Amino acid sequence: MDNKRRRRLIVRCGFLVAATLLVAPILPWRTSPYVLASSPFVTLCSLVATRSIRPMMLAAVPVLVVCVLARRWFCRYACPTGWLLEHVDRVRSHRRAGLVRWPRFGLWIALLTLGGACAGYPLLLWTDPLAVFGNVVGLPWRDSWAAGVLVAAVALFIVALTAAWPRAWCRKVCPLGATQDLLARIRLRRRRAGQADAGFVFDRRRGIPRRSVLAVAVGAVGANVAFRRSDADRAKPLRPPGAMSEARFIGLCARCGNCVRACPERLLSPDVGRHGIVSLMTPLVEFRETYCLKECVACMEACPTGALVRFSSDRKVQASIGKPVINRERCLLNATECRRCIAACPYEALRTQWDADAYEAVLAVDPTRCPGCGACEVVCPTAPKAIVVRPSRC
Amino acid sequence: MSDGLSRRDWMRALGGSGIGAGLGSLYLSNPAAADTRGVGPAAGIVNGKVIQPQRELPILRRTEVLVVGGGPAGVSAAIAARRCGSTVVLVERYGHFGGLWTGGLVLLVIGHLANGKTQVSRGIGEEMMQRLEKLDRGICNRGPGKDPTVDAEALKYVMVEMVTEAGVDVLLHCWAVDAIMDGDTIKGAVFESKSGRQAILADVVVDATGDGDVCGAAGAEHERRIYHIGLPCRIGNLDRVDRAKAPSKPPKGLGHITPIDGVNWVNMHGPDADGLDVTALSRLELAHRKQIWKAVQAIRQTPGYEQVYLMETAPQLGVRITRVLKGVGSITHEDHRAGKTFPDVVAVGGVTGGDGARLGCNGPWQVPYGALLPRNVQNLLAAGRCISFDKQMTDVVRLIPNCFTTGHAAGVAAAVSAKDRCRPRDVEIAKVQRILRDQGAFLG
Repeated sequence: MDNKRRRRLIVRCGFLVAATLLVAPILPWRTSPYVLASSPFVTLCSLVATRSIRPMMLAAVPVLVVCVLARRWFCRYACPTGWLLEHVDRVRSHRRAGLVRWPRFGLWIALLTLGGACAGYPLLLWTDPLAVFGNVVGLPWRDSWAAGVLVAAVALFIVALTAAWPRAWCRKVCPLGATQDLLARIRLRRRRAGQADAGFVFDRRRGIPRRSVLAVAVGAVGANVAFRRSDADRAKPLRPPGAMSEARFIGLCARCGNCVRACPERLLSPDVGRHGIVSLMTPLVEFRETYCLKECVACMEACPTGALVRFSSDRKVQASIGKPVINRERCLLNATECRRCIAACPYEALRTQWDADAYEAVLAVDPTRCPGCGACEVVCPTAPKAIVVRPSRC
Repeated sequence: MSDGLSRRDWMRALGGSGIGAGLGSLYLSNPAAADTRGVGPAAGIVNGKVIQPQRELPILRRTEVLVVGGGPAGVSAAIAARRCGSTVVLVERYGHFGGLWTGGLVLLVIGHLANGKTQVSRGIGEEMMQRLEKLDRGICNRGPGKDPTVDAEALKYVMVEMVTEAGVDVLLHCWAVDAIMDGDTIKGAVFESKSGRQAILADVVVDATGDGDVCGAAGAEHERRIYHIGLPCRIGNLDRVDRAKAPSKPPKGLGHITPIDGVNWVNMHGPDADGLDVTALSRLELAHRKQIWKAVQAIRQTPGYEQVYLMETAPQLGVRITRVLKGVGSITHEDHRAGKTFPDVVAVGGVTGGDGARLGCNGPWQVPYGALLPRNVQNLLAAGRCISFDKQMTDVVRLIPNCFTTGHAAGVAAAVSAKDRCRPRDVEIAKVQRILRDQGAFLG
C-alpha cells in the first residue's frame, strides 16, 4: 500500500473510531450531537430554517470550508457511513459503469430540503448519513424493539442498495454528498496580479441550473402547503420541551435520537407509528415513573438541528411540553382530599378552586407557571390518571 | 384629640358603671353570688364608641395545669398531666369532648402508621381506641396496617369516663377569650360562659384549642393560614337500600362506613376561608347545610335509595387550619424525608399512603419538643394542629393521631414543669420522655 493510501486509511479509521466513540453510549451524551451538527447539509438547512445561529453549528464550519476547497473530501476521508459501505461495495464492483445514468437523487433531496428550509420545514434531514450512523450506533432505540426494526430497515436498505449498485448511495442518493457537490461550485479564486476581486465567487462556467432553482421552489411551496394542512385533526403527539409547534418540529427533526439519549429521566422514545409516517422515529414524551426535571435542559442542548429550541431552565414555561388536563370524575380531591399533584408540582402551578355550582373543589392550573413537566401526572394515584399532560400547541 | 379615651370619657364610663353597679346591686338577692358570677356592668356607648368598663374578674379556679380545649389533644393532655399528679382544669367550649374527632364527625383515624404498618401514634389515644373496642359499635376496622373509624357518641362517652376516672376538673360550655399575662409569662386565661366572664389562674397553660386561641391572645408569634372548611354529615338507612332497584353504579356522595351498620359519614372539601372570621363561618354553615340537604335528597331520588336519610350534620364546622405557632422548634418535610431523629422528641407521627406519596416519604416523622413551645411566651405549651410545622406537613400534622400524641406530650411536660417549678422550655427532657414512655407513648 502506498503512502497516500495508507494515510487515507489511517485518517478514515480515525474518523470512524472518533465518530463511534462520540455517538455510541460510551462517552456522555454531550459530544454526540456534534457529529450530526458537523454535516454541512444538516447545519445549512437548519440555519436557513431557524434563521438563527447556535454554537453547535460551528462544528460544520471546518467541514464546510474544506468541502469548498476540496470536493467531496468528506466522503473520501471522514464519512463513517461511507467507509462502512465501501466494504459492502467490494462485492460487486463491476456495476459501477451503469450509475452514470442514474438521476442525481441526492441533489434533489438536498435542494428540496433546502427549499423546505426556506419555508421553515427542512423535511428530509433524516436522510443524512450521519443521522443514519447516529441511529445505528447511538442506540436511541434501546427501549423500543420497533424503533430498532425501523433503524435496521433504513440501514439495510442503504446496504442492499450499495450491494446491488456499488457506490449508488454515496454517489447518487446521499444528500450530504450532493451538498458537497453544491459547495464545491464555490471556488476560491486565487488572487491574480491585476485582478480586482478575490474571495468566494460562483464558478461562472457551471452556473446555477434552472432545475435547481425549480427544485428549491417546489420544496419551499410543497413543504408550506403540506405542513400547514397536516396538523388539522390528528391526535397530537407530546413533544419534548422546546418543540414549539408540531409542524415546525416534524420539519426540523433529523430523527437522530440525540435527545432520546440525552434525557436523564428516559422520558423520550422514538415514535414507531402512533402519529403517522411523518412522525416516524421522532421523539415522543411519555411520563411513566418520572417527569421532566426542573433544572434540566438536556434535550434542548442535545438537538443538533434546532428542532428543539434552546431555553434556559428558568424559562421552560415558554418551551412547554404541554398543559395538564384534569378529569373531574376521576380526581380524588374531594373524595379523599388527595392533593398529591399540588404537592408534587415543582412550579407551584396547581391549586384548588371552589366550584360553587357543583359544590366541590376543583384543580386549577396556572398556565404561566406550568411547563408541562408531568410531575402531577406521575404522582396521580388513579388509574387511568385523573391528570394528564396534553399538547397545548397546534 | 387622639383616638384613645380622653380623661372626661374615662370619668364618664367609670361614673356610669359605678351608678350601674350600685343600682344592680339593689336587685341582687345574694350579694355573695355576685363575686363568682362573672357578670359585670353592661358595656356602654361613650362618644359613639362601645366601651366595656374595666373590672376585676372573679377567679374561678387556681390550678397547676390549665388545659384549654377538650379535643383529642386537650383530653390527652389533661389525663396525662393528672396521671403525673398535677391538679388539672380542662376547659371546653362545646358540651362534649373530642373536638373535631367527635363533634366534627371526622371519625376516621389516619396518619398513625409509618411505612403502612407500624403504629407510631400510641399513648393515651391508643388507650381510647382500646376502650372503644370493648364497646359494641364503638370502633371498626381496627387491626395492624388499618385505618379505624370510631363512633362519635361512643368516643364522647369513653372520654367522659377517662377524664372523670383521672380526676380532672372539667368545665364545659366555657370559651377561652383572653390570656392573662405578666410580662411575657402567661398566668392563666379568661373564659366566657353562662356564668359570665371569669378567670382561671395556672402555673402552666396548654393551648389545645386547635386554632391557637390562647397563643394568639398571649401574643405568641404565629402564622395565619387559610384552608378549606367543610361540614361532614352522617346518613343512615344504607342497609335498607333496595338492591333490586338500585343502579349498578351507586350515587355520588355516599361517604364511608362507621361502626354502625347502615350509617355512613360523608366528608366535604369546602371552599378556602378564614376560620377566624365569624362572618365566613356563618356564611359557610348556612351554605353547607343547604348543600348537604340537597345532596341527600339527590341520593334519595336514586332508585333503591329512597329510605336513605340525613341523620345529622356535624355540630362543629370543619375548620382545618387557622393559626400555626412559630415555635422554638418545628416539624419540617425536609426532616421527615431525611428521617431526622431529635434528642428532644416528644411524639412520633405517621403518614397515610397518599400523604406518604405526596411527601415523598412513607416513614415516621418526629415532633421535637420545641415545636410545642412559643418563642416569646413563657409557661405556655401548644398541642394539636396549632403546633409549629411547615406548609407541606399541614395535611399530616392536623390529623387526629398527632393531636392525641402531642396533647399527651404537652400534658406531661406541663405537669413536670409545674412540679419542678421551672419554665416548660427548661424542663428536663429525659424525664418527660421517660414518663411518656411509661404512659404508653411511642418515641421512636
